Amino acid sequence: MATINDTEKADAPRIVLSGVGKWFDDLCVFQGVDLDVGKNEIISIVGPSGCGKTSLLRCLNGLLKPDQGQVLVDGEPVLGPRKSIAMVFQDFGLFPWKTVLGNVGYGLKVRGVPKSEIRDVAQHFIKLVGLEGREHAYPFQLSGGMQQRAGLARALTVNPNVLLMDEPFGSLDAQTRELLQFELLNIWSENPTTMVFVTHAIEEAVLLGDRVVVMMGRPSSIRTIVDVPLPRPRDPSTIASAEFQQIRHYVWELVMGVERGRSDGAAHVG
Amino acid sequence: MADLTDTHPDRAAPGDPGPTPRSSPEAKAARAIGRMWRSKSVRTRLGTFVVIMTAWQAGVMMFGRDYMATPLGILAVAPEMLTTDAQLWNNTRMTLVDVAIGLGLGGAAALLVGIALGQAKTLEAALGPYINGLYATPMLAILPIFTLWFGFSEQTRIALVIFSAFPPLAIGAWDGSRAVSKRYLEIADSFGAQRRHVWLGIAVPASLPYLVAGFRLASGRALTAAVVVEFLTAVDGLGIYAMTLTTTFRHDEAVVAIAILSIVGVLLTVGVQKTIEKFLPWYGNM
Ligand SMILES: Nc1ncnc2c1ncn2[C@@H]1O[C@H](COP(=O)(O)OP(=O)(O)OP(=O)(O)O)[C@@H](O)[C@H]1O
Ligand SMILES: [Mg+2]
Repeated sequence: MATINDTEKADAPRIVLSGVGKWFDDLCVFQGVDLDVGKNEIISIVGPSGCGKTSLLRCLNGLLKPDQGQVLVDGEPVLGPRKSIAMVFQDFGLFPWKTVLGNVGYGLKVRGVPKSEIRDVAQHFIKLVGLEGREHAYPFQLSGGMQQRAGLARALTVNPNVLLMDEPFGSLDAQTRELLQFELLNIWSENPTTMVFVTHAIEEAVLLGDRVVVMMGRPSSIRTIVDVPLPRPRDPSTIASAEFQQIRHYVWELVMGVERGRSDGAAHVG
Repeated sequence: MADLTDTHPDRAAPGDPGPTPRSSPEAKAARAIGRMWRSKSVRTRLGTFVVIMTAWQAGVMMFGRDYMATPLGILAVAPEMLTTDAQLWNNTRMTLVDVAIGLGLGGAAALLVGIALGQAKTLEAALGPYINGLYATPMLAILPIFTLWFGFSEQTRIALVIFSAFPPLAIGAWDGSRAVSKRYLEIADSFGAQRRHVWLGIAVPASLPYLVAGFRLASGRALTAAVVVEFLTAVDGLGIYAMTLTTTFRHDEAVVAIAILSIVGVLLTVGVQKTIEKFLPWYGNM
């Protein structure tokens, strides 16, 4: 959701990663990560399990401190959790003791927003993600898809400049997943915001992203950034287009090819 | 909230005609009894009860003395005692009010201290050993000191109840708040939650199973403490009343008084847990 003063420096990137690296003790997870993310851009990140995608997101929202380089959001270094950054978690991350309403309103509550306002805002986003009527249900009474809708609504309530998504649909069944991908696209086109979307699914990465970042190696770094010049709004017909399939295949080859190259011990030239 | 109960499989058993509108209370009661009778666990309990009571009755009749309490004897005195014995209810009230005060004060303090200990490392290092020490101290050992401070009075009873109830609940809260999943803390953190939000909004609900377990222990110890104080200081209450009945060979009556203590104990332990399960449906689904 763009605010007025965004227009001042409309072309200044929302996120700037420069030379970012992270160690856990002597294990270097990733290093030399350079990436600019523009306002209202959607960046997908794909990469093998353990390559540090979650850790990178955690550096982005200030839950982790990078050991190297710098993370800037809106021109300022991220030193801790920030109001303008919200995260959606792979395991939904809902509090089991809170209802949908309580969970969705959580971000506003810890910000000290008055109760009645929390209610209104939460209700708005509950409706937006299609959970109307389930406000008083607890997470255990919801399907995975519904829980993640609540997780998404919770992140949206705080009106984030940056929305970080850590494999949000990774644990959902294929149908629900596809449904939510398109709903997310719809929500985004009505409330555009900068989004960093981590996923294992190449098709999902291409469908959502303006660019797809491929992370590789050990320690990992950005191997390639693939442009996805597909028109928006994107819908199910996008997937059927030849161009989509081409890009999807290209990213697939990048991801798989490099993997195969490494296990063969042969150098792979991209 | 209506949809909460939908998930209970036993709500709408197949063939159940469902709630007929405007059914009379008698019909409802009859249906409830029917339901209970069909329930296997209820039948098992009833069976066990009959066996135990029969054995008790027969045992005393064959081998006991005639002042000993028997189920039939209790049944004979209980109705009148429960309806007309003002002393019984006075004593009950005195004991229970102090137990409630002690449990309330001790419990609230324990909750505060326990949650804080689990969340703040420095506090844990500073105070942890004392909490463990308190828990290990036999409550009887401290009683003479309390009687010196407070005399043979109700304050002594409250003090010992607090002293007994505090440690198990504090340790429960402490364990629970230390074991709060890092996930929850991270989520709270990512939204910029402050400490007070984390302690109250996350540590407390996330440790509820530990709190319930701690409270079970605490309430048992609280009742024991109250009775012990009455025995040793002769402060009026249900414990001393039962003792008087016993020493004057009115054992059927004594059992009625003791049973009130047991029932209160059960209400405090099982009752609290069931209430929580009923009103906090997420409990057990964490
Ligand atoms: N707090 C931590 N302490 C130590 N090591 C960690 C920590 N968090 C992550 N790691 C390690 O860092 C590496 C990257 O983890 P991360 O979770 O970021 O990977 P990922 O790309 O998100 O994997 P996945 O796709 O499976 O979610 C892993 O080897 C992991 O074991
Ligand atoms: Mg991950």
